[in-house]
Amino acid sequence: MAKYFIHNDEQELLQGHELLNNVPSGWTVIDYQNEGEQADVSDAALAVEASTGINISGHPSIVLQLNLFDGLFNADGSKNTDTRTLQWKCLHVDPSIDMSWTDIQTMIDTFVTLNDANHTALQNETRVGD
Amino acid sequence: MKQIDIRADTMKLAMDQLRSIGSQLYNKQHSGVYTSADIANQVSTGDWGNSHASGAGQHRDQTAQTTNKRSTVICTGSLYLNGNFAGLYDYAYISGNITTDAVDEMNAFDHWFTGNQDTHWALVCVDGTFTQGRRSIIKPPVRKLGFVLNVDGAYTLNGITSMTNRGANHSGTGDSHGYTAPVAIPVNGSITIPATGGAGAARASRTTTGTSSNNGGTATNGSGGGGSGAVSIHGNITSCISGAGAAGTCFVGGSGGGGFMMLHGGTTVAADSDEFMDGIANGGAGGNPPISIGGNYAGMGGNGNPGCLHRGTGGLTLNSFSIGASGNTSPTEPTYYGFGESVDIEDKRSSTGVSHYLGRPYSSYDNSLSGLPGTLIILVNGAYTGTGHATSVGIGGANIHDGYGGGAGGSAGGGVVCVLDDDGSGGPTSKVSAGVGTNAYSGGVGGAGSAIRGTYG
Repeated sequence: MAKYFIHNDEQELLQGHELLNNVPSGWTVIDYQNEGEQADVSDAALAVEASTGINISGHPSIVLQLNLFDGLFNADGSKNTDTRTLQWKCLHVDPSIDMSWTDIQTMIDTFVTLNDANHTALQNETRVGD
Repeated sequence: MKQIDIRADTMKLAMDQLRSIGSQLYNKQHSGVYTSADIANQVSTGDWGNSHASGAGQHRDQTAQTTNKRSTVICTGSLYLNGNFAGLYDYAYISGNITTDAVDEMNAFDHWFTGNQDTHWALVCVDGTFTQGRRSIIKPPVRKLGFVLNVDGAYTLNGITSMTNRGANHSGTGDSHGYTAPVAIPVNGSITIPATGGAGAARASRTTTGTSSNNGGTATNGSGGGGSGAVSIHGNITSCISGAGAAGTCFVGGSGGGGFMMLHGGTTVAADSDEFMDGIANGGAGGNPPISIGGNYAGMGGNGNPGCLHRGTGGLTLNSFSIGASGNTSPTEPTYYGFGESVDIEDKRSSTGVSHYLGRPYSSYDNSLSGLPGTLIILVNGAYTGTGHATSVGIGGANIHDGYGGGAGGSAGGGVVCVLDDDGSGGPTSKVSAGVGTNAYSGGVGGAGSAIRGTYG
C-alpha cells in the first residue's frame, strides 16, 4: 500500500527528530515544489494527486490510505459495523513541534480511532423520519 | 498623517518609493533650516513640533504614542501597481536596525499597524537590519489586503510573521463593507501574484447513500480555492447537493462551502436559491449549512469571514452529540462555533461516544473558526535566515474531538507567502497549507497556497 511523505525542504525536517533523514521503509518521499521554480506543485506531487484523486493540501504532510467506515447504515437499515473502505487522506505534519515518526504513527492511529468513535456515536442517534 | 498616492510598476518599486518618502518624513523634523512658509505649512498640518516615528531601540517605547509623538505609521493613500488600483495602504517606517528579543519589545508591532480592516494594505519598512526574536509574533491586528515587510538589510526571522486568518474580506459584504477588485500583484519583474487564485471546488452531489465532497484548486503563485461542503447521506435519498467553495484571490484564500449530514435526503438544498450554501467570493463568508437538516445530524458551514456556521437538529434531544454534549438539545438556531463568552457555552464535549475536551483552540489566534489566510510579502535587501515561521495557512472546521459530529463544511484555501532576498534561497520555508479536512465525514479541503521564493535584485 503506497504511502507518501510530502515536504518542501522545510529546515525543521532536518532538525530534532530529523524526519527527512529517518523516513521509515515503505514511505515514498515527495518534494512538493520543483527546485528553482516558482510553480506550486512539482511533477512528482502532481502525479501523487493524479493517482490518489485527492489534494495535497499542504506541506509537510503524509498521504496514505486509511481503512474507514464510509456509511452509518446498511441498505436494510441495520447498523454498519464491519464494512470499511480504503480512503486516501492527506494529514498535515506540524513542523514546528518536532514530531517523530512514532508521533506521526500515533497521529494516524488517533485519526482512525476518533473516526470510528464518531461512527458509533452517530449510529446511536435516534433515527428520525423512518 | 500624510496622504500620498503611490504609482509603481511593482510592489518592490512601490516599497522603494515609500522608503525614500519615509526617510524624508522621518528626518524632516528637528534638523535643517526651515522657511516661515515651511513652518506655517507644518503647523497647519499638525506636523510642526512633533517627534517622528520611533527608530532603533525605541519602537516599543510607549512614549511614542503620547502627546506630540507619532506612531510608526506615517503615511497613507492609494496604491496603484502596473496601472491598476490595488487598494488603499497604510505605511509604517522604522529607522535603523532593530532587534526584538526582550519582554518589553513583545508588543512593538502594535505600532506598525492601523485598524483599517479589509480595505488597506499594511506596508512596513525596517530601514536597516531586523533580528526578530523567538517570542515575537508579527501579525496585523485586523484583516488586510496584504502585509508587506520590507527590510533594507539582513532579516533574521526566529519568531512568527503571519497573515493566517488576516486575509481581507474584500467582497463588500463583510462588516467593513469594503470592496476592492482583485488585480494581479506584480511583486517584482518576474513574480506576479495572479488576481484569481485556485478555483473554488464545485458543489458535491449525491443520488445514493454515502459521502462526497470536492477539493479546491491551486494556481501558480496564487492562493488556494476553498473546498466544497460534505454531502453525507445515510438513508433514503433523492438528490442532495452541498455548497461550493469560492476561488482564491490575490488578497485571500478561498472560503469553503456549506456541508451537512442527513438520514434521508430528499431535497436539492444547495441548488435552492434561499439556502446560501456556496462560499462568498473575494474572502467572504463560508457557505451555510442547509436551513433544515431533517433530524438526527448536524451541518457545518465552510470556513470564511465569518466561517463555520453550525446548525443542529431542531430541538431533538441527542443521544450522543452533534454540537456539544450528550443529552443536550441541539440548537434550533444557527450558531457560530466558539461564539460564546462563557465557559458553559464554549467548553463543548460529548460525555458518551466520543468524550474529549477540545483538542485545540478554535483558532490559534482568534478563538473562533472564522478567518482566511491572506497575502504576505517579505522583501529583504540582504540575507533571509532564521529558525522561525513565515505563515499564511487556512483553517478547517470543528473536529470530533472539538465536540462536533455531522457533515462538515469545506476548508479554506491556503494563502500566499512571497519571500525575496539576496540569493533566493535559505531561511524558513513558508507555510501556506489549506485548512485540513475534519476527522470524520469531512468536507472538501482547500487548495494549497503558494510559497514563493525569489531574489530581491
